[in-house]
Formats: sequence, C-alpha cells, structure tokens
Amino acid sequence: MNSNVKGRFFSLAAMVSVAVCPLPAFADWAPENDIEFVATSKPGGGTDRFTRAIQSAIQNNGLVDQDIRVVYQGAANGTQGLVYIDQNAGDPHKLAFATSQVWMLPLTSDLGYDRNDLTPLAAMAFDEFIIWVNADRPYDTVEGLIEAARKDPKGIKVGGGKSKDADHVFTKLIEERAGVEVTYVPYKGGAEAAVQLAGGHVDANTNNPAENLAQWQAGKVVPLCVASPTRMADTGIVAQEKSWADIPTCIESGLDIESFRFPRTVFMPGDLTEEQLAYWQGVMEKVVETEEWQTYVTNSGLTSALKVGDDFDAFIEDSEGVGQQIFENAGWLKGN
Amino acid sequence: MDFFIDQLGLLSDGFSVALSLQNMLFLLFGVGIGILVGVLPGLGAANGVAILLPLTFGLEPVTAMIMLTATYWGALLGGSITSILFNIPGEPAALPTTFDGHPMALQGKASEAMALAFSSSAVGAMIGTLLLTFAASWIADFGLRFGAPEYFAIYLLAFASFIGMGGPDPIKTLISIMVGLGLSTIGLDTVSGDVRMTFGLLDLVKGISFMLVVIGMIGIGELLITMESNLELRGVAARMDPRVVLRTIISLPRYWVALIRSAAVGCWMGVLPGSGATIASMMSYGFARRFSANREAFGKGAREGVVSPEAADHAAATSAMLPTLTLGIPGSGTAAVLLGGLLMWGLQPGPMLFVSQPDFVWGLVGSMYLGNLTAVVVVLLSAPLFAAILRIPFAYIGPVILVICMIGAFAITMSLFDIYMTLIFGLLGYLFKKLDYPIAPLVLALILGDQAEESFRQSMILSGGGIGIFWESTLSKVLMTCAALALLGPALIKNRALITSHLRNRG
Repeated sequence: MNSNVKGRFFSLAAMVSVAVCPLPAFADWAPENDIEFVATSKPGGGTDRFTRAIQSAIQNNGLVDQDIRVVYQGAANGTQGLVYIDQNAGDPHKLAFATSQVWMLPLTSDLGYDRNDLTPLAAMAFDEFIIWVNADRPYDTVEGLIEAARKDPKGIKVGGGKSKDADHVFTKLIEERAGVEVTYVPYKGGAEAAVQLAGGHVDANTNNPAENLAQWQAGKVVPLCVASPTRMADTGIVAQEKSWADIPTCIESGLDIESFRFPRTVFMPGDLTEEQLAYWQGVMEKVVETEEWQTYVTNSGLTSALKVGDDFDAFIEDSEGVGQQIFENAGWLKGN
Repeated sequence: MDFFIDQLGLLSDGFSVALSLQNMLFLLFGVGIGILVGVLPGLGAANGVAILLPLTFGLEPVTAMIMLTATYWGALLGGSITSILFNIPGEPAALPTTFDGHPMALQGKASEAMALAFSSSAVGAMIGTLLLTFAASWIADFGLRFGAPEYFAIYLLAFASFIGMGGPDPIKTLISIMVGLGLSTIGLDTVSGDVRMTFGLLDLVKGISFMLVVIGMIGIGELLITMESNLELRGVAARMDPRVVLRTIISLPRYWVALIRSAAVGCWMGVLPGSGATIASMMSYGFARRFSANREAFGKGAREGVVSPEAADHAAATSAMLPTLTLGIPGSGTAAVLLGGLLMWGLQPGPMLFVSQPDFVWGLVGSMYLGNLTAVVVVLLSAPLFAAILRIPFAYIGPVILVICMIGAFAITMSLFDIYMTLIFGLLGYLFKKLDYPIAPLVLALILGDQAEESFRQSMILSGGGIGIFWESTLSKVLMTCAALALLGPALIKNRALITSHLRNRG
C-alpha cells in the first residue's frame, strides 16, 4: 500500500519536472513506475526463491530506482502468471520469473498464452537434475538402480513434480537411455517429491539439488548422479561429509545422459522497445555480480550462467526441440 | 528427566534472545500488521508474510523470523474477528468459526465469542509450541510415514467426520458436497497434466480458489440475506465488556476436553506436510459436533463450536514450524513462505539447524510463546474497535463490507474475472440459504476435493490399480477404520434402539 502511494508520488514528481523544464530526449530508458515481479509459482517454491534472490540483489544494491513488488501467480503450474504477462504487452514494468515451463507446457496443452508473444529477457542460472534414491534401498549406485529396474519392469517408482514437466521428461529420458521401464508418480512439486522419497513411499526422485538437500543432510536420501557435463562446483561440505562436487556425473556412472538442466528464466511482456530491453538486460548483468546472487547460487547448488538476447533465443530453440522429440515419443504432443 | 532440563535450559536462552527490546518491538509490529491482514478477507497469512518478507532483508535473521511469525499469529487471530462479527472468514482457517461464532454475535454475545476464540487460540498455540519444544525429532519422523494412501485416508476421515454437519437433510448435504467436488476438478490437473472442465475459458485454467467461493457464497450471500431483512445487520449491543471477557477466560477450563482434542488434531495436521491449519480447524469442528452431548446447539451459537476450531487452528499453525525447521518440509502454506525466508538468509533448515544455529532456533521458539500471548492481548485490546463497527447502521457498513469482499477477491490473483465469479457465487450462496442447502460441505469438498483425488490417483499409480493399497500400512488401516466409524457410527447409534428391538422380536 505504502509503496504504491510512494510510487505514484514519484511518478507525479517526474511528470511535474518534465512539464516544468523540458529535458532533451534520453537515448536510454529507465522505469517510470513501480516494478512488478511476477513469480510463476506459489510462495515458498524454487521459483519464489529465485524471484526473491533477484529482488534482494536489486534492492540491497540500489540497481533500480523504483520500488519492486513481488506477486504470486502460481496457479496451474505458473500458467496464470504467464497469461498475465501476455495480457500486458508493452508494459516494461512487469517481469515474470519462471523456468523452462514457458516453452515446454504449451507443447502439450493449450494454456492461453503464446510463448512467441512474450519477450525472453534472460536465463540466469541452471538448476541441475540429480537422481536420488531412498537411503534404505539396497542400491546406492546408478548401475544398481538400473539393474533393479531391469529385473522388475515398472516396479521402481520415481517421484517428481507435476506431469509432463521437467521431472517427467527427465524420467522418460532415463528410461529411454537405460532401456528400462519405471513408474512415474506425479506430485504437486519437488518439495512433496522430496518428502515422499525420504519417507520411502517412492524409490527414487529427480529433484534439483536444493530441493533434497535437507533430506540428504538427515541421511534419508542419497544422490547417485548429476545430469551435467561436468561435476558441480565444490562449495565445501554440504551434507554427510560430502560436497556437491563428490556427486559423479551420469556419464561417469555409466548412464548416457550428458546434460539435462533446468534454466531459471525471466520473461517480459511483448512489444517492448530496444531501450527497455537493453535496460533490463543491463540490470540482470549487474545482478549476477552481486554478493546476494552468489550466496543464492551457492546455497541452492545452482550454476550461474547468464544468457541474454540471441544466446537465450538459441537455447530456447534447442530445449524446445528436445522436448518436442520426447513428447512426440511419449504421445503427449497437443492434439494427440 | 535430563532431556527436559536440557530443553528448558535451551529455551531460557531462547527467551533471553527473544526478549531484547528490538525483537519485542518487531514482534509487536508483526502482530499489528498480522491482525490487519487477517481482518481483510482474501489476504491470508501466507500472502501477508510474503509481502513483508522483502522488508526484512536488512534485519538479523532471528529478528526477521520473529516479526514474520508474529504476523502469522496476528493474522490467524484477525481472521476470527470478521468471522464472528460479519460471518466472513478473514482467513481460510477461520471458516468454521463462523458457524457458531457468528450466531453468538447475533445473540448479542459478540464479546464472549471473541474472548472465547482468542483465549482458546492461545491455549492451542501454547500446546503446539510445547510440542515444538519437546518433541522435535520424534514428530518430524512421524510426518514421513505419510504416503499417498495415508493422505487419502486422512482426507476420507475429514470428509467422514464432517458429513451431516449441514443439518437435518443428508440429501442436501450430499448435493452440496457433489457441487464442491465438481468445482474442485476445474483447471489444470496435476496427475495427468491436462486441462479439465474449463469449457475453453482460459481464466478457468488456474481453477477456482475456494476463497472466492467463501467470500461469495458466505460473505456476499449473507449481505443479500441481510438486505432482504430490513437492512439491519443482525448484530446488536456488541460492546467489548471487560467483565464478560474476564469471565469467559476464567470459564475456559470447562472446555478442557474440547481444547485438548482440538489441540491434538491441530498438532497432528500441523506436523503433516500439506494439510495445515484450515483442514485442522474444519476437522476439529466436525469432531466437536460429533462428540458433543448437545449436538443440536451446534450452528446456533455453541461455545464448543468456537473453542474447537480456534484451538486446532493455532495448534496447527505453531506445530507446522516443527517439520519446517527440522526437516525443511513446510507444514503449511505460510510455513512454506517462512522456509523461503530461511533459505534467503542462508540458513539451511534440517536437523543440523538445531545444532549449528541454537540461538536462532531457540530464540524463535521462545518468541513463539511470547508472540502468541502478545497477539492475544493486542487483539483483545483492539477488538472493541472492530466490535464498534457493528453499531454503525447497515446502510453504511453494508457497502463497505461489499468493497472489502471485492478487494479480497481481487487480491487472491489480481484478476477481474475472479470478481465476477465472486458475484456469481454470491447469488448462488443466496439461493443455497433460501433453499436451506448447507454451504460448508461444498467449501470442504472444494478444499479437499482435488487433494483427495490426487492422492487417490497417486495411490492407484503406486499400486498399479489395486485398491488393496489402502489397507497395507498400519497407519492407513487405522485411519480407514476411523473414517468408517465416523461415517457409519452415528447412523448405527441412532438406529440402535430400532436394531435391538428388531433383534429382540426375532429372538
């Protein structure tokens, strides 16, 4: 409430100053109103953490002169927030914080926004996917898990967040590459999948590092391999006398998945000017330099990797291609 | 014994952290904001805490957590004020408080109802916090035993313990439940990932929030009924009389059975991830009605009907902190936001947190005792302010309530479509009341429906389609038996005379 009034006051002041002394037109653009950060998740999830990390990095370092408000539009796997961004074409004061769901979900269902109408701003970091198993299971290597799955088709239960989203796709990929069949059980999100694995209700899950960390520390779950070309960065001991770098890559463990990662992305409404886009790209470039961002990345086991402009566009196309192929094999594509 | 002394030692260290001037000031501030957030329908504790979170980035983590949790306690209390005075739950968990709290207010016993609500909240919160103090490691493990079949059994038990609450006509209750279940299927389905029942309306993809239904059917429905009855808000003489308040608080031990039962339900639901305060208060109201000697009084201003949901609600909210801190598993939506905050400050929840950050953990636990008591005192002192509202003529207050309802409906997802939906549900609520259909079963079905469906289908995936999975673990056996008893028990008892006489005739 307060920040709104303040924002209005500032914009009023700006208008007055423009009216009183006509300034030369600026080549650069800067926000004129309060900023809205749309978290496409419910409060508390990974996307929420991502949104707030950037908000605190911007606020504590004064990177943007306007107030920033975070709103949650997480219904229907975050579709709600993306529809909202789609409906606000031309508004440079709204940013949506998301993952690859932006281009993945529309492949399977009609969700009310066209991803080509949104402006991709940046991919900020990659969240790794790790294959975790319950600590009480007889297998503690990828080989053991796959062997067990081969002996008992559909007998191994893999928990994950949502259906036909990243966890499900990753599970499909494991099945395809290892030539086994498992049973995928969709839960509301990674947090729920973490609890179900710790409680032994499923045998394995494909959570991001941060999602299962507490359970790893409690000795309830064990990481088998990370689907990344190289091992994760060594940030010291995190759990059970081990660091993130002690988890082998899936290739090292004999599972032929070189890389499956999940980008943390920022999207904006369509119809922005080049100056507006450049402004926000600049802000994000500064964000990844801040201490707040470094802490966030380290605590969450993320790999910081800023991609903007053509880099990001190319990445989306690649990722969409992989999704398209897996969805087609699974018979999930729209209209099937 | 040593264990208790150790815990008490840690707790007293915690109190010394919590009792610093700075922490107490932030605690008071949090309580104040919380009550305000709680009073506005639609703006729940989770949203309130989420909005405040960025303001706390510059604070010490323990101070920030103390302020945010205080907001939580304040919001829960604020939610009961509007439930009792206006029949609009300001907070989802306060819904069952409307069933008997509002009738009490209509009978001119508003101050008694509020005093009852606040003091039983305090008892619930104390019990929840005691549990957090002494049973951290054991309880956290218990939560892990719940898989999909056990969850389904819990939801079934919630439904079973609630059925028949709408009054004398079971067919109308059943119809109301069915409408609720139907509404709960709208939107994106978690298990299949498909969009269902939206009729091509994109605004429906996100589903129908039960708060919309509550604000519309109960809030606006009530306004329409009031308008019909000569524009008088049926609440008179609602002064907060200190003597009444004191007398009510002194009379509280009389409800010890209800208090303990509700606190137990609350702690149980709080510790279980994903259930939380709303289900706790609903279930506890259902139990209170079931076990009460004078069941007839429920819905007409029964004191136990106020005591039970309030005690359960607060016990659930406080004990939800337990799995949040010990396992990093939030026991409620608001706890999930707090968990997000912890991670932002670089604190990794889990069993190690108690070892590596004792000042933080025990400062927080200490503040939970102080915060809940402070919140009750503040809300008792500020309640006359809200009670005074009842003395304003309805012609003024009615439109204000409508505006608050609309703001609440808009605040949930900031969509204009939701406002239209709320108005439609308002008309539906009016119809339900006119035709004597109960609204509560519909709301319950809407809240639990999709979770019950989801856990049922997850169980089916896990078992490969076999229904026997619900009878596998001891836990689900116990829960399923309880559900069957709750469902069939009353009918058996009611017809016992009939059955025994029938048997005697045959024998």
